Amino acid sequence: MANKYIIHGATYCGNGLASTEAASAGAAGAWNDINVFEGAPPAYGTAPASGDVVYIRSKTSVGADITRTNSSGSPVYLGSATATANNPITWIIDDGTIWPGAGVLKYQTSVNTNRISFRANNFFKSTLNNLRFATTQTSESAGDGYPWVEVHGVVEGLHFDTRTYTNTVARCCIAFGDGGTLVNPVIKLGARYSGSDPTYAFFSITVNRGDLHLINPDVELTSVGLAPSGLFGIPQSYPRNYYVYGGRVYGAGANVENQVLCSQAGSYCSGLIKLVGFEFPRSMKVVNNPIGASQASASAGTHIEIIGCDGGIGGHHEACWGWMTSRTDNNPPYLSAFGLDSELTAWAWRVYPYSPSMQSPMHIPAMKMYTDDSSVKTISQEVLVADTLVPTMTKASLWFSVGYTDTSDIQRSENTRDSGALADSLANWSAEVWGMIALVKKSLSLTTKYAIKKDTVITLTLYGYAKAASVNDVLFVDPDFGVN
Amino acid sequence: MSFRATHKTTGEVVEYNTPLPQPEHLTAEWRLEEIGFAVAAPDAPVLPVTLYGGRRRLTKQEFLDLLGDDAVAFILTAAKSDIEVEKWVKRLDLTTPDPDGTSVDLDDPRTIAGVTSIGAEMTMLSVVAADWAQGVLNG
Repeated sequence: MANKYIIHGATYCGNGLASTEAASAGAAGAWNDINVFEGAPPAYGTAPASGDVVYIRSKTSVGADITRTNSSGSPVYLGSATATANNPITWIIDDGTIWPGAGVLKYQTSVNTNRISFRANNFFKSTLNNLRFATTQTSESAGDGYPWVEVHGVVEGLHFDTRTYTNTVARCCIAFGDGGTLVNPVIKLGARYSGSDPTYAFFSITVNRGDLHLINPDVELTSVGLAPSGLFGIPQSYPRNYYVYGGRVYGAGANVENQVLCSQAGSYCSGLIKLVGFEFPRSMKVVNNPIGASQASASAGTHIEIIGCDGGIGGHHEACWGWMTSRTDNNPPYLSAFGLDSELTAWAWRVYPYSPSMQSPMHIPAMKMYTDDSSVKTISQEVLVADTLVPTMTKASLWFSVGYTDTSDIQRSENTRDSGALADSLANWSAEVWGMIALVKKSLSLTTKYAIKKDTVITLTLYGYAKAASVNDVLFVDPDFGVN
Repeated sequence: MSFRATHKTTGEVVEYNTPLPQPEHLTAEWRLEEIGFAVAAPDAPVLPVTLYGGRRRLTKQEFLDLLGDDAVAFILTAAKSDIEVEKWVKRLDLTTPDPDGTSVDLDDPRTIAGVTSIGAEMTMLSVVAADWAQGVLNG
């Protein structure tokens, strides 16, 4: 394992083993051509090998930024094919640590067939986002392929820019093969594809059962055109999973009403989309169409789990039964649950059960630590139900199951499922309307048969089968269930 | 060398081919780029396809799956009349699994010799493709 160096444009090509410019050809000193980064063998010295770290000066020897173009009709593969999973090769775009001044290494193309591809088993690091991809193209014809960038390794600090795109036929994406990671990418997008095919979502996983990892992505949508294909495409058939930690999507395009975060094209979609701390505007639709809209697709495997999407800890969970959101930036009614921020922002679940069934019911879990003395307790769950949904909400179609440990350390489970109407409630919700939707207070409760043991966990899961007939058929659920 | 200088305030773009850039374009008012052609590879490196993720030690069952039904049938038939093939089959049959449960090492010279030898014969008889032996030894 060795440190190696590239100074593009230096007078002589050295053996790659020193950060200074070589005094003569083959002498100790940096390689003088960036094409080593593109897979070409160096003129002198040993090509990068497994475990090596290659430092790349981000300015040429005369102090210019480096721009690489490609009109060959073939992709440019960055990194080395000799790297292995156990001994990857690391490529570092210098940020001024080794050489004075920090420039930009940019790959620029006008045709997607000349895309760049980051090889597997290679780490690419650019702490100043000075490893860039940009296109000069303004439009793309239907039938042109994509993606523009492929990620098979770990890429830190990529700057991706397609702001020159102006028409909505344009399809561009960053594709991940069977797995890859982008860390701190900065993504600036112009016009995007106006169709809804999730295949053309911006982040695309091209291999069945592949995973995509995004860490702190900063995505700006500069075009105000609707792009139903979304940022994340939910595939049909084999699962492909998205994991996003931190970051945001913002900009004029993100604030367009009903702009799409995820898209799917059929009932049989599968995979997991998990976003933790990824912020997006509340005007953005989480999914273009309901997941698994028919009962025949009740086993549809896609789950969307979002935590921390509103600048706080607001979340959104969606599966084939519907969705539930705890965003607080749309002023939901609340009862007794308060957040962890310094303002103790109140919150409740807003639930839209668009396709629950016996096979795949609405289910909302909650848990508490019971710290009082062991005792029989009354467990209660307060809900606010849209008046249009009330007729379908009975003790048979909306009930909860509570699990607890009794004083003999036996796990107990009891539920409220029964026949008859739900009980009216006098709970002091903050409001009984939400926009134009009138809400009715209802309550579910049971008294445990056994004493709940001190310092044990109580779990409560609210189940529902009643299906929303319109977008106004929502309910609000207080996550702070009662133990009295 | 090809240079492109962009004035950061006015947006003026100047492009030229000279051995060195114009000195004024190295000042803070300009963004200077050296334009070059990237090396494009026509094909991605093809990594060998493996059944077991590159693992080199296999169980007997995994090894039989790797050989394939056609090859196994041929080997068992050949073992009835060819003592060398029978010896190879018997060695596999009588081998006690190691503590990790595996019995076959794809890097063992005996495995390599047997697969290569029987592979050549099966290829000649069109039982398997020409690259069968290499595929087995790749895992």
